Amino acid sequence: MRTVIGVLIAVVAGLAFAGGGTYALVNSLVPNEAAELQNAPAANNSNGVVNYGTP
Amino acid sequence: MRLVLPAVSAALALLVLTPLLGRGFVLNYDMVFTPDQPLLPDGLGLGSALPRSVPADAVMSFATALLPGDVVQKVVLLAALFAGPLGAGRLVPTDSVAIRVVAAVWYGWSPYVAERLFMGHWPYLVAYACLPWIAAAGLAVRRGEHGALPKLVLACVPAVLTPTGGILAAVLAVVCSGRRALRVTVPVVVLLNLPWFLPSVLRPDGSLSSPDGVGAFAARVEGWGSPVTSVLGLGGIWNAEVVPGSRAMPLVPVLTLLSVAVALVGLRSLAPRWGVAPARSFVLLGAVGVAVAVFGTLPGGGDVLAWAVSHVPGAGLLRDSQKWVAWWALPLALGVALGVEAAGKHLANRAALVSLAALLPLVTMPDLAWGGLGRLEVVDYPADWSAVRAVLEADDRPGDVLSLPMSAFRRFAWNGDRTQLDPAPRFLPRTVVIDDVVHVGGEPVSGEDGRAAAIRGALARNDDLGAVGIGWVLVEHGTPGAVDPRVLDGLQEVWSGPWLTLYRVPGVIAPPPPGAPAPPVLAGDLAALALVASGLLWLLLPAGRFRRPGR
Repeated sequence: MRTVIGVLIAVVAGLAFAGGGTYALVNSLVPNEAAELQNAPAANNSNGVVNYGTP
Repeated sequence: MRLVLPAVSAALALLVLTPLLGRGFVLNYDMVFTPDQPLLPDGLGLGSALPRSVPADAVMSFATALLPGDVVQKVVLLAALFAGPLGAGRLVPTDSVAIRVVAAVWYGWSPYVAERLFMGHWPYLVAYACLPWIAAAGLAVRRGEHGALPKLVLACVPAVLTPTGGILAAVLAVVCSGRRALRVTVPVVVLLNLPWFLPSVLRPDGSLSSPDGVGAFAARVEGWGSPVTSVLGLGGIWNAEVVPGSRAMPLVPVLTLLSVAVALVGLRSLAPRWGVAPARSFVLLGAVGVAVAVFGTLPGGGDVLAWAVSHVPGAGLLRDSQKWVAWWALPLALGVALGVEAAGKHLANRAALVSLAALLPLVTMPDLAWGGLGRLEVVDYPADWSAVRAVLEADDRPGDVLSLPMSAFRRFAWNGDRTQLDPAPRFLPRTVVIDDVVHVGGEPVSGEDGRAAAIRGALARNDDLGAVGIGWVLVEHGTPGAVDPRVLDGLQEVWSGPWLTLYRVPGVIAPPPPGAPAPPVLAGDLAALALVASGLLWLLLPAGRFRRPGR
């Protein structure tokens, strides 16, 4: 009985991890339509300067 | 078994640096090494720029006089990445080699190491590597061990190459040595830090900084969690471009909180082994490191910092505040190791737990390996650089060099378009003035060099550059930034190649503006050198070894 419960827990946890991972992945791959590209910060090297970095 | 810890430490260093060990230079962000770095006033803090890399530049000019610059660079990086984990492992108060290995891996394979390496902050890596050795020597001073003080001095020496490293080392040394040793340790760490401290306080332009960069250089969240969790996990550097991709994993903040919990449990066993006072001070300093690192991200913290950097001399050191989390790295690594040791006593399969703990940092941040999985590479300077250096060496006409376009950072195709600090000041045999305004996320952050500001004004008005002490203009090609053709109109072209063109400024060249006065600065350098030499002699010569026991 303990083995069955253990297997169930493992399967459910595995599915949860896989589902959560897929959700996170798909969510991060979908373009963010809220992004205002016209007001986006300038890419590095535009305006003829080399950025020290990006916060 | 004695070789296990050094072997693991060497393996960690080689896992990162093996692809970089060939001939050539690793040039990324602030990391600049050159084949034969000249000794110039700026290297001793006697120029117009703020002494951020003092005495590191002077030390590197001596080191590259003995060995080629690329060899020096690899030796420095290997030594830093090897000595850090080795020192951390040795510091753990345990009989178990496996537990020492856990501490070594957690200290040597940390986001702090990865981010500062990718940012090119090699002096910080050197200071980070010194911290465990400083702590060990400081604890020996506290116990009153014979010969501990010279060991403390020598452990601090590589760290004091820059102001940040010097302060990291000094505070840890004082804290670990304890209150009774203050009358010795405070003068010692002050003396060791004189080479950068005196030029900072004596320079005519002062050492106030612009508040512009406080927000830009604040610690930041990496992916999930908050800046606090990022910093607690030894990450959170301001520059998103140098953060390993693995730090954005959703699991990272969870693992960070878990490791902090294990560390806090483990650190409870430090007091019975070291004593309550040293253990408490050691952990408290780690907490202070975290607090300083995240202070700018707290409500109102940015305003306080902005006021401080523009009103308190030297407070600009607080801008890139994440660097102070180095003080937390040791308590975290030792705490995790001791926590694993404590947990192992309650488990049947102790080996599995220790193996898991030792592998966890590598598994969760694999992209530090192999030069950051290709992020860092070895390149050669184009021949133009040596040619321009030869021209300037052969010509004894006066004047400093102005590097154009006016930008502190470059991106050359010969270096894979990596962002890199202009190498001219460390390559050419004369003082080179570069723009000290840096752009962060497209926004300018003002510098502190009054001379650079005067030259910017002269360029804008197309005034005579000779009047501001500039005798030569170096134009670097193939990097973003424009050069106003009117500036070059009246100049005489001396040498030109695909990457560099050197011009001579005609007419009378004024002397450069005075920097910090040389006599007190050189006296400070000599005092620090004398202290280091005394420490070395004390350990090498048989002095003091004939002391009778019990006296």
